[in-house]
Amino acid sequence: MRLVLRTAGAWALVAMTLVGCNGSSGKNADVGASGATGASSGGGTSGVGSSGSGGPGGTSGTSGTGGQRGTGTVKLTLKVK
Amino acid sequence: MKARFTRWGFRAGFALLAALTPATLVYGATGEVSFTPTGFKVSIMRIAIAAQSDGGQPTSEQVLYTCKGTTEAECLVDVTNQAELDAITAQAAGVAVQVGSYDVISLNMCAPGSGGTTRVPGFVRGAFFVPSEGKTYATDPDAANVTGLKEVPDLADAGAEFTAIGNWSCNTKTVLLRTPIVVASGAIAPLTVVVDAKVIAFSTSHVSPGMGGCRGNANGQGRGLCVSYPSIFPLVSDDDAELDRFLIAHHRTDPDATTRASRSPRSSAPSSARRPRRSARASSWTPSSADRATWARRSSRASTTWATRP
Repeated sequence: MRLVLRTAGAWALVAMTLVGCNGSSGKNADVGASGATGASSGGGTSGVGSSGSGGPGGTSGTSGTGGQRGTGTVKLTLKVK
Repeated sequence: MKARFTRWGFRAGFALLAALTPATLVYGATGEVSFTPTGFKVSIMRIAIAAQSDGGQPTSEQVLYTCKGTTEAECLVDVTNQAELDAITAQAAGVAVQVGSYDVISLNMCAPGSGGTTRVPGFVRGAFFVPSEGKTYATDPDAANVTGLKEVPDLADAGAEFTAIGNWSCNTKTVLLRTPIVVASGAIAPLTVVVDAKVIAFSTSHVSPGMGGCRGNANGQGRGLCVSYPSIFPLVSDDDAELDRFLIAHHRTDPDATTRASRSPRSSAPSSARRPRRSARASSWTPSSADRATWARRSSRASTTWATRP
């Protein structure tokens, strides 16, 4: 009688372990893939966050610092019509 | 070769108006007259360019010109006088601008600390004829003259002088460039701004001094004088700009309009190839009612170039 109970408990423990392993593996894989995509499209170093914000973050950084240094001159002319 | 600059925003706005309203609503009332002043002094405190953000706010502002005076009175400029505008151009020459792309220009008429409700000085000079009255008026400098207008014999000898604009507050005009101005390192980017005071002043037989930019009798009865802010048209070029003008307001009962319409070439489809001749008067030309209707319909498709040119 006690042997039967132990068997059932052991199988239940195995089953729960398997489910837990499967779920955990799936989530980790998704997060990893999303993070990689974000970092790639953003072109920067802070794309680890979410896949949605990684791209815009990279674009903003590029336009703000990509060779936009220095000054020029505007030749302003006012004319009467 | 002249670069052509069209009032795209104006055209689109009028096209929308024409599409949504009956043509009769665009006419002014009898006795309403617009005119081009021979002098128009406004305070120009600062001219700047900026990049418009996604939210519509200017960012990365670069100041091109700052008046050396500190008050609006010290920074009055006659925007009908090319020499005075040239002085601003000279002062703005060589001002360093941060490299980048900019798509808005602003003309600030307010001194620091002033706002849209701050009364500031402004002056206008001009004369106009009112067909429905058969009278000619000119601006009068006499401060005791409530309306700032006096009746004169004719336009040829109007004797107009600068008079103060009533109920005049400062303002910042911000205009979106048709194409952005791109400033590169060590380079010179041309930016021409046309300041236009054409038919910017007007007069009606019922002007209240409570109306913005207006002088009139306290009870709002009688002819008065009103002025709007000058129009500015930026062009990313140093070419001579050319403006298209669109006549949109004339009253069908205006005797002058009726007379001129009978002399105007009749057509069922006005086109750019048959532009009206300019007249000595500011209200230069009036289409017949048939032409006006046709014009309104064509304008609603934003296809007409029926306009007077400077």
